[in-house]
Amino acid sequence: MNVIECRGLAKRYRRAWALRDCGLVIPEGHVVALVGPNGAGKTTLLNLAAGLFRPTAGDITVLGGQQPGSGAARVGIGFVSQDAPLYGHLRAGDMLALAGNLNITWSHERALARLADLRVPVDRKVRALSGGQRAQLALTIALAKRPRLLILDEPLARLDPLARHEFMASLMAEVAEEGLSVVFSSHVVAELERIADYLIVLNEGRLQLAGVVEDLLAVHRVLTGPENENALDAQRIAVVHTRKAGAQTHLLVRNSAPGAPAPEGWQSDPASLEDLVLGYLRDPDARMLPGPAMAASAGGPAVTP
Amino acid sequence: MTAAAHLASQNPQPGKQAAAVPLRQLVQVTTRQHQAALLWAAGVAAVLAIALAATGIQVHELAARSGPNWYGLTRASVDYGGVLRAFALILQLAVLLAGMFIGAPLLPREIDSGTTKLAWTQAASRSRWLLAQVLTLASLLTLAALAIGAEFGWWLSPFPHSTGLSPPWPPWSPWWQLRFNLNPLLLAGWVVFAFTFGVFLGAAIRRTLPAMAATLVGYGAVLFEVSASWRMHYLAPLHRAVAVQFQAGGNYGSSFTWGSRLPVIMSQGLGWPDGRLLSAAEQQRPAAWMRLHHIVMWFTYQPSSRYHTFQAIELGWLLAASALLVAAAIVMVRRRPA
Repeated sequence: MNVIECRGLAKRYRRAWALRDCGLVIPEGHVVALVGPNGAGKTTLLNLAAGLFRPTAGDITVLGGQQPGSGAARVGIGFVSQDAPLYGHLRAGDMLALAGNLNITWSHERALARLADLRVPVDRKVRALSGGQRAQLALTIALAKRPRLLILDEPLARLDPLARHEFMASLMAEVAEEGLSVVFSSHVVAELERIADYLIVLNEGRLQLAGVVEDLLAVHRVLTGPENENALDAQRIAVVHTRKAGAQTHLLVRNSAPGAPAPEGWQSDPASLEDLVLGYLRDPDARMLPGPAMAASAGGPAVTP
Repeated sequence: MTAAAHLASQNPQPGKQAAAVPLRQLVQVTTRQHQAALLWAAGVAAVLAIALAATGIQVHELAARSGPNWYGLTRASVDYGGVLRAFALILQLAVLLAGMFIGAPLLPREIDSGTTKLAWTQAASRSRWLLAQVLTLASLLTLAALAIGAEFGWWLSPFPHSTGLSPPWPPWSPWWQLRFNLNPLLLAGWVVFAFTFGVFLGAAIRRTLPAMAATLVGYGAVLFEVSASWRMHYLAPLHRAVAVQFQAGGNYGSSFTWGSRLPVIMSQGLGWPDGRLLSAAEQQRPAAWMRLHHIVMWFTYQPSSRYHTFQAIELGWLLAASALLVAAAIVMVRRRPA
């Protein structure tokens, strides 16, 4: 089953296109990081998946063919919107009970136990909770539905490093226990490797990169050398991005033959997830998308298939 | 009941139509969410009730002591006609406030704070969610209106049961514009209308303050139009010819009575026996001419017996309009983004 599937998906707000020509297939069972700078269209894509508004063009389905926002989709998806909106004037416990009454599938006791574990005071007003506690309350509500897909929009944005760590650790524990799929957006690239096993890079409303992290890392390398990268053209190496630092040139390259030796004069290192994300984001024309999406979006000039 | 009572069971199977969230749960969502606002409204209603009770006891005592013309005998103390006017105005204002502060912000406040993105991504559909909110709040407002309306009726009971003739009516006339809609059922109807009107404008405008301002202006305009003119046209008025004794010098008199139940007279004028009214020039003719042509006095009026029919008609269209407004709000909430 694919948790999210879209074809030619596009969304335009009054003037600007927030999302264009988005073809994407996310299989179930992954923790998916949706990465891109502010304004890349991440929130738009996630809100479309949550059924909060309709696409301008194309189509999107969730949980194996359900319409976003349909009854089955609303039951099966736990969604936490950006900034985790909650009723601030309610006590945390009342907020949880209210959310329970909005749902059919709901494990109240487990949710209460989770809040107790995380030391979130249920008798305190939501607006008096810390940012980390509010984020945990919102996540607890989304999890208490026992969803098959969890969609989190910038869950880490407002958290300090410690709260970030705790949040992700508790999320990972739930994922391991429940086997649910997670799609979360982030404009923070650091530390994603420990969390996500599937990566989507979105930039200026277009998809740039989508795939299992392991596979993506396997086909990308960082080359460091003093020479002009033009010398590599003859060797048919696809350069995603070139960065010059002093006398040295760093290249993010896609190698068609993994394991091949580095070109002469160049030092070859495995790419980190951060190298990969930044390399693509710095060159918005570069693309590498699996399946039919690949054909749908013409490859950038720097990437040869 | 807490949410713990409906512990989760199974995840839904893909492709299966999800069951609807029971309305009972959504009613609890509403009361929990609006607890503070409801307590406020209850507080306002309680203050009104106490003020009515305190002054009502005085009115009843005075009436019991001083006989049927008590309200005319109290020049030295309080002007209870004035108190009656003040209460009527306050009740009209309270209805408006229910529309402005409970109805209009219902949706914009959630859109502002982003909580629609929380509420509308849960299992309950937007339509059911909004329907439950509206039904719950409207029911509570109805209960409050029925109680206050009944108390106001008791407060008024020592005043004379005068019926009517033409406006301006004294404030104790049941036809008085600011009192007509304060009978319990009609008060409830107007509260529900003001509330749903606010909800509708909130759904259409999506911003709190503009929606409240539009409710103030729109509801005020509707109330004014209805009170000032529409109400007297719910049923076609009746006409009645009355014989007139014309005397020389342009004076004329008539000796007839309407009986004990005075109608609401909308217009009157001299006219032909067949119903046509005299022109301005004809009205200047001498008495002999009038007598010769059997000129009579025509009254256009609403009989007092229609009072309850008019109340029912007004209640009926208020409730129908409220239902339409809620339906329109639901359509907008379903179609437009969160």
